[in-house]
Amino acid sequence: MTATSDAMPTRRQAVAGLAIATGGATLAIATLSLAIVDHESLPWKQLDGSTLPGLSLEWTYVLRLGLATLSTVVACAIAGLIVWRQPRNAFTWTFAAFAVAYALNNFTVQYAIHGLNVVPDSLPLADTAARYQLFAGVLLLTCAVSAVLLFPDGRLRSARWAVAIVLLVLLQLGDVALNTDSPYFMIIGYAGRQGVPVTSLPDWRALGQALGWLRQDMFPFVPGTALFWGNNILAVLVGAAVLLRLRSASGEARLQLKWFAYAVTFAAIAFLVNRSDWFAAILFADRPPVRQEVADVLHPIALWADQVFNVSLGLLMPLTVGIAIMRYRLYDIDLVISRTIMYAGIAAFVTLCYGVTVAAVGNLVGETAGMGPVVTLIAIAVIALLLEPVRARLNAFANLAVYGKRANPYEILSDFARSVGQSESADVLLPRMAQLVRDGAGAALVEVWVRVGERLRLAAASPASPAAETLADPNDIAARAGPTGTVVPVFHENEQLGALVVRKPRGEHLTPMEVRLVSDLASQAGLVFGRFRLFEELRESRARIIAAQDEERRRIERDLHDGAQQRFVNAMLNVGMAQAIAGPMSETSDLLQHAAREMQAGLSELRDLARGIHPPLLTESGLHAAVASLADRSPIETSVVGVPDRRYAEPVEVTAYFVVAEALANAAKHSHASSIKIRIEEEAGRLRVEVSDDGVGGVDSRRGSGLVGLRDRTAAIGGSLNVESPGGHGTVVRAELPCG
Amino acid sequence: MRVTIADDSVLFREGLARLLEGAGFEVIGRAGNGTQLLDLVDADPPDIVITDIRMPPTNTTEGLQTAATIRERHPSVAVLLLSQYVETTHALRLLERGADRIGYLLKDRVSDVHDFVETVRRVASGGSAIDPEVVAQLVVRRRHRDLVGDLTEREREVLKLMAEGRSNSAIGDALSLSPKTVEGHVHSIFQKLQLEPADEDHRRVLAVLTYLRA
Repeated sequence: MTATSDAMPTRRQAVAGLAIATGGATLAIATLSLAIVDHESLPWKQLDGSTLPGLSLEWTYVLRLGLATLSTVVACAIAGLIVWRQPRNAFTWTFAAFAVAYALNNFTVQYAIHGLNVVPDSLPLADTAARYQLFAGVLLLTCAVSAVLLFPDGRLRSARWAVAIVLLVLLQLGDVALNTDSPYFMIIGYAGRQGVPVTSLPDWRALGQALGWLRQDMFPFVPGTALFWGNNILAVLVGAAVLLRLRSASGEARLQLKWFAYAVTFAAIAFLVNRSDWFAAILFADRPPVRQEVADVLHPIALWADQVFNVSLGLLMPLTVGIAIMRYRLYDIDLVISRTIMYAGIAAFVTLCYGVTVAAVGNLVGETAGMGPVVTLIAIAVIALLLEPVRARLNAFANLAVYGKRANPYEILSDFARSVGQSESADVLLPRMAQLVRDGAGAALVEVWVRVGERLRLAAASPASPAAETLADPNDIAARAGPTGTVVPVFHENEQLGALVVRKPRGEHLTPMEVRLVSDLASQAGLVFGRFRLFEELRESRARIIAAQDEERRRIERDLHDGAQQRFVNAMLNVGMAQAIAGPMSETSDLLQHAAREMQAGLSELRDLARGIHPPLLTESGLHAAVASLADRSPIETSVVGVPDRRYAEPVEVTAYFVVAEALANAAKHSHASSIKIRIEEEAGRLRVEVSDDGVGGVDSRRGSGLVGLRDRTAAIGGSLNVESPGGHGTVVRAELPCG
Repeated sequence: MRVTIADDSVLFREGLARLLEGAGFEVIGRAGNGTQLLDLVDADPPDIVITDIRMPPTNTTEGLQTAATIRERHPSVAVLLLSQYVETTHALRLLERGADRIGYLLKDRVSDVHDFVETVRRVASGGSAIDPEVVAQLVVRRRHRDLVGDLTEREREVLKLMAEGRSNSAIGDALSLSPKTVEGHVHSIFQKLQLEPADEDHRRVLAVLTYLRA
């Protein structure tokens, strides 16, 4: 099953989810406790490369410890949540494995440091915990890559990706095997890097030596950086996989992937920045002085980028996965992306500006003691001056990148004016208008409300909304628009005909230019609104007339039944008794018999009349029984197919019934058909009624009041009726009635 | 024979009671709607109930529902339903649990007092009565599909009367045939339609109607 199956979570799934979340939290807290205990004896203080530039050793330690604990708790909590809610998804379990492996990894590191370095021989299995580090990387990487490839529905895009995963595991295992010399110091790092003495198992040692020999003697040409490049290529491949899926996905899956891609992109950029000093080192390998200078600049950036990478993997990734899988605020992704682009741009701009100003001022003035604060002030002034225009440009750029190209307002206006001029129907124009406003104003939602009678009717929306909504009080429109929405009234000849509701993405408001555009569109829309209102009012009044007509027919039928018909029956009863008294073979008896026959015929005619006015069976038992009864009474052989055995709204049942009745009556009178087929089916909220015969055809549906009246009736309830009757090829009467 | 009558028209109810009393029936209860009828039957079950279908409060199919309840609670009480119009659908639903002690007629049929009284007696003593209009509709439908085509005109007439629930002697009276001849026609119909022979009249009705409805 896919992620879309929101089956009711069972108790077992809830327990599993809770176990993962609490297990992860417990491991994280145990790790944290051990780390706090160990921080007094910090033999790793001497080790270089673990202090973040700009921070003291202690603060680096606190930062790393905090981030690691937080991300472990978050990842395991989210894993637990999705195990509970989406247990049928293969992705869920891959991700849960990743989260658990991550928590276990952090814990074993601290456990090994404590048990081997801080208080030797104080903890059991400390050696094993250190050895686990050899495999932790393989496990984590495998789970992470598999999770990415399985996201979001738990299915691989193709079997080839499974091969890639297997290759990855083999590559990693090979690397592990190469590193199993013993005894050896293993450099492991969690909050800080540490060398721990590890004793390898004898078997591993033999394997490691054999592989080491194999490697040195048989494949000396394999460069030492093979694994490094392998990992880089892997990162690119995984990114490509996400992008490929994103390209072909649609709907909610696309949004889910977008969230994920967001986190992946974030991590990928951090990863590349982190490796920038490596790239630089390779690039300037033959010019040591330049290499050194570049490395001095890049090294601190790379160290921080490493932290960002850890945060994006440990915090951002689980959070976006949680959002995507749980579909919570799924639709906010575009806003998040555009904001990220904008703020990242501002950050880069401020950094660049500061660097350039400092360098320029430094060059001009020369490095004079005491100029530092002045240079900083100048830099701040420059940034302050340029910030707002740059922010606006960046915002525009971010919107362009995320929401796509927006049409030029003048094009939008002239397009719309042309459509109105061509007097297309309001059904086409209003949705187009909503679409145009949404594109033109970069809105998240646009609704077109038209005043019909005393109420406001939702005539169109973009994105399209299927619900037919009505506001009884036009003043409620402001509440409907919400705090982020703008209401633009539409006037025509000083009468308010409706309003547009425009809602921007969260945190944005309509710019003055966008307000102008919307108002200009609104001022042109008056005619269309008027047309829509007339149409709606006509339809409503027709529906009211039909409803009143039906009510009247039902009343007449009831009156006939309880009145005239009953009187006939009573009279017949008396005539019958009189006949019995008179006895057979008398003149009186003959007269009474004659009277009884006349009454019988009159009653029969009354009965047919009543049935034609309103069929009681339809009210009692619904369309299924009533159509069957019509077919039974038809003088031509009539078969019935379909006819859902459920009740519909009365106007729908009555209309469908009379379409069939009229078609049967016409066929009986004119068609000379030998058989008739009635087919009634419900499909996507429409009831399709079809009556076809094999007669002579040639029916002109514009003549004959029966069909014309029925066409009006179907139109009044929003349906359609058409008659196909080519001469000599039978007649088909089709009606389509909304029955949702 | 003891009868309970239900109809919302007082005039018809009283007229019917007079007719039945004149014919020697004992009318022990008169009801104006389904609930009243049920109370009367529960308190003192008659031999037969004669009830209208459309009665207050909903004026739709009260009589049908009440009939079903009576047949469930008092299997020995016969029920004859009268209506201003007859529907095949209703008839078939009525017969779902057997055709004995059940009747379904147009109200018009009361005008032939003799025949009506006979019908009431027949139903009360375990037989059945199906309105000719219902039978005619079923036969027409069957004839469209050419399944009663093998029958002679006379046999078809016998089939219709059989489906109405009439006995051999009644069929003989109606068609002016000797009982022997009627028996011969019935035998021939059952053979041609490949029906299992049925001895009792109400089983015969069910067999024939089941055939016609199929």
